[in-house]
Amino acid sequence: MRRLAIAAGALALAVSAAAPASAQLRVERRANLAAPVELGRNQGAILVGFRRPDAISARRHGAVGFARYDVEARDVIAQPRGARRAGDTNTYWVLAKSGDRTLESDHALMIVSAGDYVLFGAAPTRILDNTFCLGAPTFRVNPGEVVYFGDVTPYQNVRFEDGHRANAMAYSADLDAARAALQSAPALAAAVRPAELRNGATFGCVAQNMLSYAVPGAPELPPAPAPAPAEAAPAPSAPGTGS
Amino acid sequence: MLLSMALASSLAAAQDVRTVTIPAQPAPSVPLRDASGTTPQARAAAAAAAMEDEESAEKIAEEAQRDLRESRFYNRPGATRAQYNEEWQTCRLIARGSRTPTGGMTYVYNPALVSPLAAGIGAGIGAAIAQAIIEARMRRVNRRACLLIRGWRLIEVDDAEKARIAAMSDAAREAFFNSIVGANEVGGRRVRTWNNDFAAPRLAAAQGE
Repeated sequence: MRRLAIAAGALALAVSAAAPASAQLRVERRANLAAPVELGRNQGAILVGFRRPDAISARRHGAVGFARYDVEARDVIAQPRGARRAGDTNTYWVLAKSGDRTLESDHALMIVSAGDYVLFGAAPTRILDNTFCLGAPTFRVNPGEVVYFGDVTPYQNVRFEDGHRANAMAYSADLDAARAALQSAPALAAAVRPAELRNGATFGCVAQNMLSYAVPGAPELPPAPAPAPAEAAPAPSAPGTGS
Repeated sequence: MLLSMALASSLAAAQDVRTVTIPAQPAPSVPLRDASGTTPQARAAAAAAAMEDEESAEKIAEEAQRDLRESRFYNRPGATRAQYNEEWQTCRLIARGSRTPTGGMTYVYNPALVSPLAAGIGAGIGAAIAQAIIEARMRRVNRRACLLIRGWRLIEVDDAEKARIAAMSDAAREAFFNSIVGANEVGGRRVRTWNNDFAAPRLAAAQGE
C-alpha cells in the first residue's frame, strides 16, 4: 500500500513537471502575494488597482477584462480551439476582479505571457458584459515586467451632470501605491513600470454593450490601414509564438 | 438568477447611451440550439451574411433613413448624406458583429476561435450575447454608440419642429434631411454627443435617488 502511494506521488510529480509552467491561456485569478511569486520564462504581469475613494464607489466590486491584441490587424487574438492540447502557452484572456470590497483600494496582479493586450471591457460588478470594441487602450507586456495598467473606480448606476444614470469605471493612476501593494514581493515591486497606453484600439464587437474607453491623456494609436477588400479574420497565432 | 440580475443591472446603464434592458434569462433556459439544431451564433452569422447580400446603395440609403426622423436625426457638421449612409451602414455591421471597426472581418463567428467574453462567462450567457446581437433594440443602441463615437450628434427636436418636419412633403423632407445631416448649426431640444463617460465620468454633485 505504501509502495502504491509512493508510486502515485511520483506520477503526480512527473505530470506536474511535464505541464508547461507558463500555460495560462486564460488568467482569471490574481496571483497570491501571500506566497512567493515568480515570473516564468516569457511571462510578465498586469497590475490593476480597484479604488473606492468616495461614498458611491465604496463597497463596490469591479471587473476588468484584457484580451490579447494584434496591433497591426486591429483585432483581438482569440484563443484557438484546442490550444491547450496543442501546448499553446499564450495568454488570450485576462479577467481581473476586485478583492476585498471593504478596502479603499486593492490591487490584482495577473501573471500573463508577454505580448500586446487591449482593455476588452470593464464593469462595476464581478461579471463583464460589455466591450470597448469601439475604442480602448492597448499596451505591451514584455517578459519580466510588471505593467501597471492603472486604477479603476467602480461606479454603478450613478447620476451624471446631465441627469442620466449610467455605469462607469473611472480611470486614475497611482504608481507609488501600486508598487506599495507589492511590498511583500520586492522583486516584483522593482519590476513595476507604468503601461505605455495608447487609446483607440478597436476590435470585433461581441458583447451586449459596445462602448469606448479612453484613458485621459494617453496618445491615440495611429490610424489603421484600410483593410483589403476580402480580408479574412486574423489567423490564430501558432502555439507558443507569443504575440 | 444572480447572472440574470447582474446582466440586467449592467445593461441598465451604459456610457452615453440610455437604458435598454434586454430580457435576461437564466442560463439554463437559454436555447443553445433551436428545433433545427442551429445555435444562436450560427443564426446571427446567417443573419449578418444575409444582410450583406442585400447591400445595394439604395437599400442602405433606405435603411439609414430609419434614423432620420421628424423627432430626431443625426448631424455632423460638414457631412454629406452619402457619408451619413456609409457610416450608418458601417456601424450597423459593427453592431451586428460582422465587421471590426476598422472594416475587417471578425473572429466573432469563426468556430475555430474561442470568443473571449462568451467563453469567459459560460456557454449559456455566451449564447445570450449572440442572441442579443441579433436583437434589434440592442443593435440600435450599439449602432448609436458607434455613430456618436465617430463624431455624429443625435439631435432631438422639440414638438414644434417635429410638427414642422412632419408637415413637409416627401420631397421637401428629403431635401431637409440631405442638408441637416451636415449643417453647422442645428437647434434641438437635446443634443447627444459622445463623451468619455465610462473612463472619466462627469458625475453630478448630488447622487440622491
